[in-house]
Amino acid sequence: MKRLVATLSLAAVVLILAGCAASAAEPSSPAPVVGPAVAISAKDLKFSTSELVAPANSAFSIVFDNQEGAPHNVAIYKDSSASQKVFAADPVSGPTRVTWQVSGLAAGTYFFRCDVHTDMKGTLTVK
Amino acid sequence: MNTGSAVRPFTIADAAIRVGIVALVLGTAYIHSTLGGLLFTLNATGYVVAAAAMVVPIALASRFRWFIRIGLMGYAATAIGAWAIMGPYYTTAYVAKGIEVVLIGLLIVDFVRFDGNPFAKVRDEVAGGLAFVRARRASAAA
Repeated sequence: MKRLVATLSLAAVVLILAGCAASAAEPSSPAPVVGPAVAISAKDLKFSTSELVAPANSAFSIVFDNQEGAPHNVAIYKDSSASQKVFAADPVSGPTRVTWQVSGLAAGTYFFRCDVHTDMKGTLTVK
Repeated sequence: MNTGSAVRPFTIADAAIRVGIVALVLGTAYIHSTLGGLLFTLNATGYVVAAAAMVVPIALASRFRWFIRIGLMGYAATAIGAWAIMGPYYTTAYVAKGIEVVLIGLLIVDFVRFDGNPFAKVRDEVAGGLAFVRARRASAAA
């Protein structure tokens, strides 16, 4: 029992320290923009736009400006059921500006959202 | 610190476990509080209330500490289950869920040390509650 308690206590300390490290390790410098760029920001648990447009069949960048402390990402799905993910970045806590590269998508209409706050959503038109 | 629901000495190991539980609960509460939005804020608030209930030195909380432990285990398990279904799956979330898994483990250890077999404890408490209700009804009818 003592060994179990010691193991669990050690695991607790490691996890809490890891949590602090994870919070501190969020990326803060933007990656270079590759190809056409799509800009979107987040503030007050809302995206700046619910409509994004990107070129078909060519890589593009998402320049994301998170203007608040809450973590957000942009995840792109085939449709609003969000069952088929085509792109997702790890959420980042702000304020920070990051750039994500998205490989070419076929023309069509896609659904995007923040995976942490699923009420933050919109439509990506690829044409 | 309160000595829990059992009539036995409160040892240093008991205190360490209780402190560990509170630290883990406050750790996951902090992570949830940084996520923003009503749901996460309520989740964090629930954890803080549970942490207080685990150590508050009042007789009622001590008497029902077993129930608080079960409730907190269920709360953490629900949070893990909801995350497993909905995500998102990223580093901070994995850390929060890891904390909750260890928390459930420590709560089980704490439960067994103070109240023995959880299933037997629940069965005894339910039987005791039913007997109390029956006695009240009988005295009211008399």
